[in-house]
Amino acid sequence: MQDDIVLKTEDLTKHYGGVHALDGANFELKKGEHVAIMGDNGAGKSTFVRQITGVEQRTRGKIWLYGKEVNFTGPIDAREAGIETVFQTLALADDLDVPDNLFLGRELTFWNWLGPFRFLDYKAMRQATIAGLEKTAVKIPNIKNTIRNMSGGQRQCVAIARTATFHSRLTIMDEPTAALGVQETEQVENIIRQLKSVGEPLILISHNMRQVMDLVDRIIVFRRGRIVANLKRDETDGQDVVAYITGAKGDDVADVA
Amino acid sequence: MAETSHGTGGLTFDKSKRAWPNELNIFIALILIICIFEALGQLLPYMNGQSLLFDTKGRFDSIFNEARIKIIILQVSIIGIIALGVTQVIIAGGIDLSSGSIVGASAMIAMSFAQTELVNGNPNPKAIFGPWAMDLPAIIPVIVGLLCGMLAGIINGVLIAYTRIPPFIATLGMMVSARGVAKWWSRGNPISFPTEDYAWIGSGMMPVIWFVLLAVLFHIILRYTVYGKHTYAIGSNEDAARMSGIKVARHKVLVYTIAGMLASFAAIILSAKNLTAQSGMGLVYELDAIAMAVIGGVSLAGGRGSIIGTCLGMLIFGVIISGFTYLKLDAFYQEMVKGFIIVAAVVLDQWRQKKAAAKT
Amino acid sequence: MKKTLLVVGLTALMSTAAVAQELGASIARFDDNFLTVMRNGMTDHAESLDGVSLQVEDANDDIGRQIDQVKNFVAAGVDGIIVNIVDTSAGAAVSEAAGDTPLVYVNREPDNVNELPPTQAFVASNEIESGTLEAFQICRNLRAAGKAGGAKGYLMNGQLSNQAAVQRSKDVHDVIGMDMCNFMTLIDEQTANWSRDEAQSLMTNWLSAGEEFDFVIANNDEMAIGAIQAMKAAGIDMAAVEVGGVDATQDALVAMQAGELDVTVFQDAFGQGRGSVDTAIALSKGEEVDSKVYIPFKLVTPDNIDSFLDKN
Repeated sequence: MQDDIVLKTEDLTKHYGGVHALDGANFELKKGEHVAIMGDNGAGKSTFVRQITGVEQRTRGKIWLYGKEVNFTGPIDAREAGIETVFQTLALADDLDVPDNLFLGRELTFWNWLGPFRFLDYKAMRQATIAGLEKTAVKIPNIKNTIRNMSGGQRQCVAIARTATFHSRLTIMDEPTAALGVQETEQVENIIRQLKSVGEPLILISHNMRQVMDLVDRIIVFRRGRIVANLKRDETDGQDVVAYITGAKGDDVADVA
Repeated sequence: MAETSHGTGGLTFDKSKRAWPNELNIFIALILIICIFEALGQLLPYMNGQSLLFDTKGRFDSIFNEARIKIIILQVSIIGIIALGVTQVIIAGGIDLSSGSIVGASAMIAMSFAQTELVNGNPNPKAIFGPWAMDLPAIIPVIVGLLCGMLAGIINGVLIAYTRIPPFIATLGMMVSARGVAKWWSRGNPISFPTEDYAWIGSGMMPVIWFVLLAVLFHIILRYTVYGKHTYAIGSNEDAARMSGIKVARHKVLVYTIAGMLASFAAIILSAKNLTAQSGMGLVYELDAIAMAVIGGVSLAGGRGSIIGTCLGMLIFGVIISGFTYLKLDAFYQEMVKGFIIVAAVVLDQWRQKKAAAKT
Repeated sequence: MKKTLLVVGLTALMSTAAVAQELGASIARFDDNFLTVMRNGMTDHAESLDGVSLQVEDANDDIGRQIDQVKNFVAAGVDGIIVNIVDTSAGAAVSEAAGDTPLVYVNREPDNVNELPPTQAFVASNEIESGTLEAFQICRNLRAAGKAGGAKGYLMNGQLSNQAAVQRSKDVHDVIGMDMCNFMTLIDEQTANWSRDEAQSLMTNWLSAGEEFDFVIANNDEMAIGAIQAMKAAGIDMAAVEVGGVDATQDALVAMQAGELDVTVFQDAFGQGRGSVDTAIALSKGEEVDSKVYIPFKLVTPDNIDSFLDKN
């Protein structure tokens, strides 16, 4: 196995009863690479992500992360292994502020002998938060503001900043801009570019063709649970991708995506 | 127009959305209520210009009517201790209806280990157990009492966290069962005449001292510890908390256990203060405790509220009770006004939530 | 084999139960001290009688539940029912629910007490006595203390929805209205819901107004004890204040021995409970019974306290 492979799947398959939601997906992601996953609704994109992040248990197939075979029993396993996911439904606590959300479930603490009553190191978390926000070029004027009082874009930025703060080894974003306005979308895209420039690998699920063409190195197209295309961004265009998505092209299965 | 400033990348930040601490609103409400009572003292002809908080007869060294300030706090401090536990339960998105009954059961059980053998030179007429349980060190009934609350809390928590019974139902069941235990324990007979050491726990202003100590402790726990942060997170967005790796079920058991123990500690103080335990003790205390928290700005939707708020809510309660006695008005009016304030507090909370939602 | 034994056993059980007098009782609430003593009077007395079994239910202060309990007793075919009524104004409904089954009201007087059918009766103490005895003795004590020139004090009411509380407070007002006692005036009267804790808070609130007073009259002993505890905490000399209660509970007698409580009234709770069982048995045997059986109140003061120490 090559050293520069971040994520590799082999024959990844998921059946819901008789429905083959995902069928024999072979996938590779290299270090520093940004890959988009496209496809119609129900094509298998989200199913694919759910198997990788341990939200669901796969029917068959294997997954390697940085060359090590992994079997996640739940999303927390995956996160501990370094996979940070920005979910379509933002997993943020509305009544907590930015550092609280970033460090939820993995707080920096002192006096740890107090067990569940160990003290929060607010100062360290605030500094790490600011560092994380800087890394992603996210600027939120007041990080002590609660999520409830933030706009959709700011919330999305907080969710993304979480990945940067924890030096994740793989970031997965599921439709990060679907609910955002133009300006906010632009902000999120800037963050993605920033991640690219610091070499963070990324899987981006998106319906937005312009965004995909702007941001990623490679495009994977899912259709009816199968990977039907593996296209380098430089060697393709929007019409070509759409043709794969709709099934006008590529009924033969791509070998290794 | 709201003033806005720009972060890099075009994100806007609306300064008007910066949180105005809700505790300040409640504090203002408290001051207003006091002002109303003071004004009525001056305006009502039969009051002869008396004052609620100030010393108009030169009875004390300070300008305040110290006796009344003491009773305002004293009469609510025991329910206040329950309210501390209820506050964290509500912040975690739950509710605890069982605390009043836990008070009854814990008081009965604790008191039967706190009895003194001789009363005025005669054997204790209310003895529950034989001589072996008489004149025990006060720490024993305290531990026994706390264990009762702990057990009840654990049952509440396990039912809610692992069987997914709604908190309302689970604690309602405990409310009925624990009251049953309280009545069954001595077949309804009151248990009286504790040892002097035990009585000390609830003597004089001790209830207030216990309350202040516990309020400070729980303020620190809720604001500065992992336990507190996770409590807010669970009440705010339980799914997010779970996805963030918080062991939600285990945490809930802890939250309800602590609430149960606080209720039983309140029972110990109450029985020590009254020198008796009776199976009807703590009746509807759970509702008063919930009301204190709600008036103090703890949101029934979970995720929001603070110990400081609950303390202010408790003081509002105390001022109203003393204020009505001071105005020589009957208990009827007191209950009506209390009910009105509870509803008003919830309506205000909902209104603020809607306003916050409309802004984003 | 096992099954037959079981059947034989059950039949034996049922046949013994059939010969006995079966009584059912519904008590307004189990957690009330006085009613508990009364309940003990019933159960102790029933146990001491051969062939009498008594089942006691808690109505939890809910009149609807109490009527259901009566109907259940009727359906179970008991020989007699004892009711400590939750709501004195619901007498007609309870009487009707009992039908032809003998029914005894105990302690609390139902509003239909004068229209009871021959199968029903009322056992209690005459409530008008208690408040009067209490207030009049306080009045005499104040005179003896040389305060006939004017005495001020407080009145603590029981639950405002309760007939006994209303009656006792009315008695106090009536006594104060008499020529002999009209030197007494009330500064304020409030409810403390029969509760020691509420009475403590109420008394402390009164004390915080800083008015001079000479007496505290409470509708029951628990509230009187609460008032005493509050006064002691405020450093008031208990010898200078006349305090009265009703019930003569153990706690109250101890307070009286300590010189804190001055007057209480013995309502023979145990005797009421015993009397109700006797009356129910008499009715079930078809004997003629007075429709009102009164068990007298007795005044308790430090002079005669010794004869009451083991009563309640």
